[in-house]
Amino acid sequence: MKLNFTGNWFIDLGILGFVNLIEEVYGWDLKHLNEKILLEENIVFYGLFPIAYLNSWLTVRGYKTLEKQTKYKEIKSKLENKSSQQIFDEVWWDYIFPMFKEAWKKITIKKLLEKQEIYKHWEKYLAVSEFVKSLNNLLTNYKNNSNFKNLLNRKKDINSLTIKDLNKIEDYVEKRKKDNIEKPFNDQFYKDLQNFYGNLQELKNSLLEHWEKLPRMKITKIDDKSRILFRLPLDHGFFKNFMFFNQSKNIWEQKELFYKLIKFDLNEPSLQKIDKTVNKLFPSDKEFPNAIYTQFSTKNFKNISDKLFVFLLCFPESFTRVERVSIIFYSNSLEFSYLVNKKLNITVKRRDTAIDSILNLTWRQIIDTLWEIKSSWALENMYLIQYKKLDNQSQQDVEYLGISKLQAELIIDNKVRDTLNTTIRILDKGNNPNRWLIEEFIKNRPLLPILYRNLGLYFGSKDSKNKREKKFKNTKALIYSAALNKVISELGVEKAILFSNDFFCRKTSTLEEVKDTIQRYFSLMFMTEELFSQESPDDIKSLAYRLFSRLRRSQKYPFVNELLKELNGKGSHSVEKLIKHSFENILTNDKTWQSEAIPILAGLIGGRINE
Amino acid sequence: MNNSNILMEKKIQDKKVLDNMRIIRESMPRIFAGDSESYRQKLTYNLLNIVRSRNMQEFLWTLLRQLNAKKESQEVKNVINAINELYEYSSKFFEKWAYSVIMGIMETKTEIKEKGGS
Repeated sequence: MKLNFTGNWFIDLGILGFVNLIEEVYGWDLKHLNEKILLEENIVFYGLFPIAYLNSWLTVRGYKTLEKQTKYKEIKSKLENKSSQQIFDEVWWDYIFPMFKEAWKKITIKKLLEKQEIYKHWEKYLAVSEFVKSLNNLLTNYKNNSNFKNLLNRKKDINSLTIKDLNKIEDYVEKRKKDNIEKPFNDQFYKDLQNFYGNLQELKNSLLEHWEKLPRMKITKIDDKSRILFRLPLDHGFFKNFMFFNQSKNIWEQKELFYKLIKFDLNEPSLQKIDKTVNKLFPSDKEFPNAIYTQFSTKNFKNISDKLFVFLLCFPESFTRVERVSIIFYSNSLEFSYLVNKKLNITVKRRDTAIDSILNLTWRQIIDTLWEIKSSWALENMYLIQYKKLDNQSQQDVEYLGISKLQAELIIDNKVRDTLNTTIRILDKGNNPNRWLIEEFIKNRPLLPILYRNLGLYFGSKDSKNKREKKFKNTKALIYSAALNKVISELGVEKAILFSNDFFCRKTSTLEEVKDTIQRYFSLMFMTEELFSQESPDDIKSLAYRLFSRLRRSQKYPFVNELLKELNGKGSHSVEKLIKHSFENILTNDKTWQSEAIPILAGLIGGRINE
Repeated sequence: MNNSNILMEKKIQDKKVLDNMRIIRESMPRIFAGDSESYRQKLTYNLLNIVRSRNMQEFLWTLLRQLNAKKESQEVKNVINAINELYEYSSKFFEKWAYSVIMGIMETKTEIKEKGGS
């Protein structure tokens, strides 16, 4: 078996999540992981994966976990040449179980604090009754005691305690024992606190004691209602009650379910269907739009992916958390998606670059990687999926952005990329006065309106010439945007109609065409600049402004009129060329004349200085 | 089917408009080659002002008065035909052919100069 994308996004993202998880815990990159899977598939999936998954579950929630370094070699030597069931059993009791000691202790006490009565039948296993008694004593006798309130930093009456409160009480009693606290509370209160403290320690000890005994205990010896006390305290906002996350499953059931999940056991009802339970971006089983034709059964996926549920379980792990948004880049190549996401992840963790916006950051990674790899398969369909919150109740701000092949093909050229990789000022004040051209371009937004707004600032600015040019002028970006705009809009509508004659005539290399156009625009720009070089700067500026305001309002004929008036009486070879250009590309061209007019404007603004 | 027919028709029309515009622009330099430069500049200036106010009647009147003086030439006939055809299509093409005329006249100047130079 080799990890490969399947073409189903919900599996593919899960595969990415799986790779992320293993890399995070064992430090293996994709290539290395694939080699390991080839050699020892069972150890990876039944041994390393559950450890990594639950290890990560604990880490995210702030618990200490096993030592990282020794893990792999030690595990491997123990598990070699064993069946999948044996591997899983050993890993479960030898590695996973000990990891959960602290979490189990803490969460069990937390539950006890929240709902004391459920634990009545646990008395035979835990030193719980004395603890509950002293807890109730505190809550009834001291709930409005000012000393108690001060101790816990509360203003209202104390009706229940939290884990944090317990920590405060423990701290206080321990300090007081060492006589580090000057002013004692009244004796009875302190005695009760001490009593409570003692019971808490006893409870903790008995909890740990039982935890240690657990692997040797037989499930049959524990009565039904008490079994639930012994469970890995797993929960998950995304998976809710799925399989071993279900709060009613004890540790033995959890173990069995986890094994079945890895094995993709079709006899287990939860593993027979894919719906909202396993991925919150799916509808529920009954709401599936194709339900009338066929059930969305997992049976059909068995051949595509033998470890389907491992990957579905890893789905949330594939996203990178940036600020408050989870984001992932997805293309139909595993290697490429892996590289981009890895880069993104590293950048986010390093945090040494100022993050303007999440998208900005992500696009930069994509573009950098595209640029590095530069091969044609990277030009396949690319998507960016992001969400703010995804759980049972809500799917908040889920966005799905496609990056077209066309845009990707164009920005792979380093000149185009470098030129567009610039921020243009479009507003004097306001929340977001700048636009990053490359982002706008990839999102398939027209660039010219942005540049018009930028030029509006340029012409309207009251700053001195130098300052104004420094702040607003970017003739190169102007020319590139105009050329891109022209080529892309000419590719547009008609040629995009599938199977029309024009569709098949579509040029094979749009990039070539863009480059030719850019070159033509530059020479036009220089020519215009040259032609008007004798005029006074004020005259040129006024002409440029008049032409610009025609252009901005899409008034073609007034633009031509203005231009011809200026050319009338100037006798030179350049004038002839400009008139020819105006005729061929502006007057007779209704679609992209604005792009063609821009080089003239750029020449008047003064291109060479900025070049 | 219907859509592609409309598309096709539009294409044919566009092509005809473009062809006529070319005829106009290319004929103008030959028609006005004999006039002096300052004369042409003045004419250009007038025509530009007229076309800006979108006054087709006046534009035609001014232009035809000019062409009338040179009616014996084949070029003039071509231009008249081309304008006629565009005129029949629609008045929305007015600016297209009007500017073709002006550009043609403006290009005359350089042609003569080059000829004189060589």
